[in-house]
Amino acid sequence: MLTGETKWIGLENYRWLFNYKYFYISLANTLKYLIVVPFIQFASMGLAVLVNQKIPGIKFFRTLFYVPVITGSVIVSIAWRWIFDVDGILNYILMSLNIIEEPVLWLLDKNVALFSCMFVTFWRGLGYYMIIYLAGLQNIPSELYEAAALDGASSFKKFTRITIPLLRPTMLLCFVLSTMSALKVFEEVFLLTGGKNQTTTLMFETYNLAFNTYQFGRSAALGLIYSAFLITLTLIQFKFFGLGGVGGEKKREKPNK
Amino acid sequence: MRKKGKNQINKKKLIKISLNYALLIILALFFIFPFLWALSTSLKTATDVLTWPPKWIPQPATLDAYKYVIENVPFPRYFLNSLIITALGIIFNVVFASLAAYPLARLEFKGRNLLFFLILLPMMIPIQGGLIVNFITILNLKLFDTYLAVVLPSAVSIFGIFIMRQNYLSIPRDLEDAARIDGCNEFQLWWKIMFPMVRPAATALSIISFAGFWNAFLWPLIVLQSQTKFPLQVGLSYLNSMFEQNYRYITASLIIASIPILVFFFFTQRYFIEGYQGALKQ
Repeated sequence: MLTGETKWIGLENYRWLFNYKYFYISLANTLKYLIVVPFIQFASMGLAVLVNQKIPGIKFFRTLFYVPVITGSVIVSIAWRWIFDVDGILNYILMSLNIIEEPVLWLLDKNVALFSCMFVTFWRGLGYYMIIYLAGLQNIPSELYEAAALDGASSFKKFTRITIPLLRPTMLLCFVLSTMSALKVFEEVFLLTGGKNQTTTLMFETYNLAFNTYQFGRSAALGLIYSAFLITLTLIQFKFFGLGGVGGEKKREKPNK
Repeated sequence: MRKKGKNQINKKKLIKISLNYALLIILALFFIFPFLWALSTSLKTATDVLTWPPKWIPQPATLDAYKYVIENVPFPRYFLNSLIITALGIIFNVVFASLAAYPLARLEFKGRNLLFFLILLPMMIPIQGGLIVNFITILNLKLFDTYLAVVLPSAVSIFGIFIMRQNYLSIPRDLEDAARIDGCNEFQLWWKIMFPMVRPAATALSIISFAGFWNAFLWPLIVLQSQTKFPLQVGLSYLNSMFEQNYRYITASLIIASIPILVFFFFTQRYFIEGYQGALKQ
């Protein structure tokens, strides 16, 4: 295909894909992966609030929480592969706490493997979104909280009436970013399970067709379907959140300084 | 009576603070546990790795796994490759974004907004659809298995053009007029006046590109073939399949690969956090 003569075969590749079992599995798994998004959003927002406190040593904790982000997806996926091993530490801990009785095949069981991959995505994303939320929190003027305190607002009220509304743009940004990265997941699947045990995703399948089985035409067809899928979801998000103006001219009247 | 009340408040406060720190420490363990466990595994003897129940602390500790890995894996080469790819990537990203964004923000010409829109448009189209197309392009350019092949498809960052443009837009017109009256030509104006004004944005862009190129995996995996050109991430993935179940060697490799990036991060973390804040404020 890459060097030899190519032949026009019309929609044959697409027809093949629609009869290909793993096309449906990868599509379903990619959609399932979206479950990560709400979890990652709530947890990272909570983390950001936690590390936004002005207490001694907080910068040190911030740094520690960010370590998985900075070491990168390859290193953390491989580290988790060892933890998830049948004879690994996770099974040992859970068994000694009597949470499970039999070792769980975290990466080999078809009903569990995808969730193990999702957990690693969740775990390694937390620090990243924490920093974005932290930036959002720190951009909220402190006068607002002071004024609310004078009016006798409780900290819960301050959180729901000031923090949440002013954090809305940050929440939207994080939501879009984490949705996109959940739909494009590759490293976790490649390194933890190699796409086996019902963990293949659209991104992995596109790669797999081309570079493991050398079916470039079919992979390109899948890539196009995948892109159309991503573009549709992005447009829905933009429409839903009114981010359509991102590309347009932003009217930013900055006071002269 | 009054004293007692004060004491109670202090006690309450103390409990709150302790709970706070307890929570922070538990979370910190949650985030660094995989690294600690990798460190522990890498220091164990070959038989200790397989014992059940697993030992938390390696006893006796040995550096054998490190010795073996360092002798058999070209780590310096992997690091050098990662550095070359990352440096090239950052330079391309910053130079192209700051030069492309400048006319889009500061010069008046016909069709400027249309041009900007056309530049932003591909941001909507994910690179996934282009995986095969880009791969075939690289093959036909005879760039397969080169550093340039790794960097080229992401040499221009659309997001980078976007943030740079937003930053150029916020520079007051008076400054530009003053420079022109003083006889600056267009290039001097950009280099001496405009670029220094947007340097924080350029720093933010460098940091974002750094993270992107250093951690890039799928694309280098596809376009590189010879082990001598592998960046760290691809090298590690190769080791992961080569050592398969030999977790001592795998974890030793992970630790060796993590240390430089962690050291680098501890010294530059201020920029990482400020970088995102800078990019967000726009």
